[in-house]
Amino acid sequence: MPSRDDDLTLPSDDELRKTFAQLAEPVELSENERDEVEEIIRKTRERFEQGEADAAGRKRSRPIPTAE
Amino acid sequence: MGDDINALVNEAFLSYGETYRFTSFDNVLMALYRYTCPMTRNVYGIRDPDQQKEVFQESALRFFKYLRTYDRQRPFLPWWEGIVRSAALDFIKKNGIRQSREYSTDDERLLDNSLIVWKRAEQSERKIILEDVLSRLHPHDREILWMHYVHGLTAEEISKLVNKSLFRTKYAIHRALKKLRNLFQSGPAAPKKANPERGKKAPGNAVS
Repeated sequence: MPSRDDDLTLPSDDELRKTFAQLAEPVELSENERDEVEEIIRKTRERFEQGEADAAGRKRSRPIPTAE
Repeated sequence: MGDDINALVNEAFLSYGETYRFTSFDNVLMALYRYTCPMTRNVYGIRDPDQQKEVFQESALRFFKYLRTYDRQRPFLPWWEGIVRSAALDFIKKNGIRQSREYSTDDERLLDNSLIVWKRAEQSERKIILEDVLSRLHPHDREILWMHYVHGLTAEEISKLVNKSLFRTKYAIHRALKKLRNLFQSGPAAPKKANPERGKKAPGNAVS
C-alpha cells in the first residue's frame, strides 16, 4: 500500500530545495540601482553618526548632579 | 554568497578596529542589499522595489545601532536576518504592503494549475510557481521554510533562532510543509472580486 509520502504528484523535497535556492539568489543590480543603494547606505550611515554625535553632545552638556 | 558576506564582514571589522569609521561597513551593506531583496520579497511579501529599499534602509540603521552588541563568535547572517525580520514586520504593520502586478500573461499560465505545470515545468518556471504558492502562506510559515530550505538549518538550529522549543519547531516545520503542499494541490488563489454592495448603506440605516 503506498504511503502518503509516495504521492508522486507533489513536489519532492529535493525539487523544493533546488527551487528555494533559486528564489534566494542575490539580485543583480544595474549601475543606476547600485548608485541608488550606495546613496541609501551613505545617508543612513550619516544619519546614524549624526544621531550618535547628538547623543554624545547631550551627555556632555548634561549638568553634573551635585550632592545636596 | 554567505561565505562572501562573512569574508566582507571580517574585513570590515578589521578595518573598523583600525579606523573607527563606519564607512568600513559600506561594502558589507551593499552585498547585504543584494542578498536581502529576495528574502524581503518572498518571506515578507514586500514586492514593491521602493518598499524593499525602505525596509533595507531601516535594517541598515538598526545594523549600525546594534553593531556593538553583535557577538563575533556567532554567525553573522542569522543576526542580520533577525534585524531584517523586525524591520520588515514593523514596516508592514505601519505601512501595509503595496501590491505590484508583475506576472506576464505567459507567467500566469503557469499559475493556473500549479501542480500539473510544476511536473512539466523548466526550473526557471518552477521558480515562478513556488513564488506564487509561497505568497499564499502565512509569513511565519514562509520564514520557517526559508530557514529550512534556503539555509538548510535543522529543526534544532531554527528553534534557537526563533526562540521556541524543539518540539514546537518540528511541528511548525511539518505544518508549514503540509500547507505548502496543500496549496500546490488547491490551485491558484481566486481573484478578489469587487463587492458591488460594498459602500452602499443598509436600507434601515439610511438617514433622510
